Amino acid sequence: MNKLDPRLRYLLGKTDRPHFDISESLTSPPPTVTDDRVGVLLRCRGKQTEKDLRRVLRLKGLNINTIVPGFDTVVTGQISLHDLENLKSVEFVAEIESSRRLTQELDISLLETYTKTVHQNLPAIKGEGVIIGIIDSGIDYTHPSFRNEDGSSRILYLWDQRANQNYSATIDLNYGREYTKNDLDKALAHSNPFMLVPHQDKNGHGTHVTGIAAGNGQPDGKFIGIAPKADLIIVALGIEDHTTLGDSQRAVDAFDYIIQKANNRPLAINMSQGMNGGGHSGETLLERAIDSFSRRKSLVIVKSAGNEGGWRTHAGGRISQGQIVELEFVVKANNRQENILELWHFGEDIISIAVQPPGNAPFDFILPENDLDEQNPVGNEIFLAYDLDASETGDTKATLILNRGSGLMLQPGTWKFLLRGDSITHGYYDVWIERSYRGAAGVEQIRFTDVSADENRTISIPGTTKGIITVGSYVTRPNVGISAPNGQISSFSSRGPNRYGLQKPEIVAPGEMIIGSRSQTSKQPFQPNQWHTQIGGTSMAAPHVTGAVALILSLRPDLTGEQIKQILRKTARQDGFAMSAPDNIWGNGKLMVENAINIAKNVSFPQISQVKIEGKTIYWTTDVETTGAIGFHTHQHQLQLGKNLGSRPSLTQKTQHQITLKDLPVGTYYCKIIAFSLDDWFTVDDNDQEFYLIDMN
Amino acid sequence: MTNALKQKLDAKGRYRLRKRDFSDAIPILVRTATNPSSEQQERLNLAGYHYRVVVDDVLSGYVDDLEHLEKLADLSFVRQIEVSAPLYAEKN
Repeated sequence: MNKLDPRLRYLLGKTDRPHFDISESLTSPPPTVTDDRVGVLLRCRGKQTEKDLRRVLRLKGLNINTIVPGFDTVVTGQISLHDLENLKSVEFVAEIESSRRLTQELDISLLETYTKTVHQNLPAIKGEGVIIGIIDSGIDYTHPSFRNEDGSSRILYLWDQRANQNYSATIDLNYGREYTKNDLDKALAHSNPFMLVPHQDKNGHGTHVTGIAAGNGQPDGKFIGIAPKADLIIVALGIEDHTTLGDSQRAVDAFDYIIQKANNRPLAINMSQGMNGGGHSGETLLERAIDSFSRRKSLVIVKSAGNEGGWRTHAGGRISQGQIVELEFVVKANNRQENILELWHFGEDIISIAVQPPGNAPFDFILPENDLDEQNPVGNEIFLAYDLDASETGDTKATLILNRGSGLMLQPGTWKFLLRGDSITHGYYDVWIERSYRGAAGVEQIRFTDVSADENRTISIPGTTKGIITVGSYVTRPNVGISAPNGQISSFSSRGPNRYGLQKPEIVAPGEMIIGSRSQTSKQPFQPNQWHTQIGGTSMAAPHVTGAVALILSLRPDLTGEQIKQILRKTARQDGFAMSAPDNIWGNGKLMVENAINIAKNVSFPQISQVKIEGKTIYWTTDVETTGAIGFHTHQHQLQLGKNLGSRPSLTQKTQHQITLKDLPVGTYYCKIIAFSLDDWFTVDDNDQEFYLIDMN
Repeated sequence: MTNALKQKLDAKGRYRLRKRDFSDAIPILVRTATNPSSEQQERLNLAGYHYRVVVDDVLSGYVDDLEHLEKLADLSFVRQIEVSAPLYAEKN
């Protein structure tokens, strides 16, 4: 790990220049620097006394201001740039970060993701020609950051799904209201824009997300999004009870709307909302729709990983034949809503379920062909139903729904969800608790106990599907007393993989805490001024990547989502805390825009052609020398979701390939072809999800 | 509830039907066996499925009531019906 943050490394690199003015080295306004001294924050490990710490650090040239003891001790002070290397050599100093003025901190994301140079180099790359689609709470279309220099709107279309109707009562195929750029321009020229276009983002989430992806930094020029020259298409989802942000059916409508309006222009779509209900491998119909959309050229969909890291909404593990597994979950007082748990396991296994309310005997175990529809002694409803061959995956799903029924509330206390392994071949199981109202203190979200919970496989849906780029969050501005240290993964950032073992997230980006555009009609605090506010979450990490995708598409509109995903993964940084990457916490590491752009300029992916099947042999040709493989499964839907039953390699570099399937049980095998170029870029040919069929009968 | 509906509608939807929780139109996503032909799309319309989006084998729309939901489930090429599920913003 490099102990010096990128700013300090940058400063050190510049000091060799004669007559170097340190204030030129970074953005305006300059960092906290006086003469050649720079303000720094140190993270110190170990148990040394404050006296020892002061002595050692002073000897290395640090003028100490403050010492904040803790698990890691934080020290602030000033040091000469020439003494930084000395300070870095101190063993207990784990990290040295340059001090930044608050206004300067607005630029953290551009520096941290190495986007600033991409904006500043010639030719500058800022997303020209690309459309960014945002599906969220809406937008403050009057915000200067979403307007051109002449005051006109950067938004081509705005579809307010909740306008002109009672959102929950009636629906119509042409629901909501559309505003074109012309409508918005007229409104912006009016003394009261909302008279003409009444859309407002009172929630503020969508405005903030859009600012990160594409804000142009106006009015003060202090925060610039990743793709400030991209055009925008916005869909405002409905917000119900101040808790939910849209629903799966209208989200599909939103994707389709943006794609239609983009009219084949390069397009990056951001989605910063999710849910927990589903098999977490792409089974839901929202995910299937997204997978279909994302197969199109010049179209990339990006999704936040979810903030389930600390919520204990997943339990999982293995169960053996005859074993009973007790999963405990806690219901707090005053829970008056529907609470949903879903169990998923392979269809070859038979697992019975029993439910035990607090202080009561368990209900009988329910076999998969039966349902449970009971009440506990206080009148709570307990509904349990199985779906065999759920979503035609061959897997089994069981859904438990609890609500207060005729009781005042769902019985508070520790409930048990009991699993019994009646017939076990694989034994893997996963249980997710659906998201629900969390309130100020999370009062109504049921959670597993610490003993039962498993923080893996907590990526929210639709981030679990293979066609989407899923983004976790790491810390670039710690929320004092709450956050992990600077540079560490956010404690809330959901972990992968998906249920079928696919690595998720793909990448991480800054998500804690991010200063971005503030909707003027929201109640969000001024941080640091009326135009900006500070929010954290994977919601904020995802638009960094969406903006980066827009920059790549502006150079290479010919690329697909899968190809851009490969570029982002291959160029991600694995420094600092992210050294463990690739894994299911960091994905492939931290977003690194500069390298992604440099690679994207010239990258080429192998082309597969002339595929034919003869008997049990599959043949294909590639345009350059490649190695290859086929992945196969006897279950088409599982292969569609990315699960292979097996694979066969073609390891010799060549352009003509053939693989014969043998030594496999009788059956029809669905096959996809993967070709790897010499520099390890790959292309998958799945025959448009129909696959290539080899009959082993 | 018909057998076809029980097999094709997800458990959350079945629960809501049991509770008669649908006072208005029912927003649903539907998956068909293959990308629906124009003839199949017409049959979906006749069954009372008002759809806005067709993306490969997934459709997005609504039915007016339970009766139409059952008619929709009776179509052999309809394989999966999901009642629309709420999404949540992922700010921390």
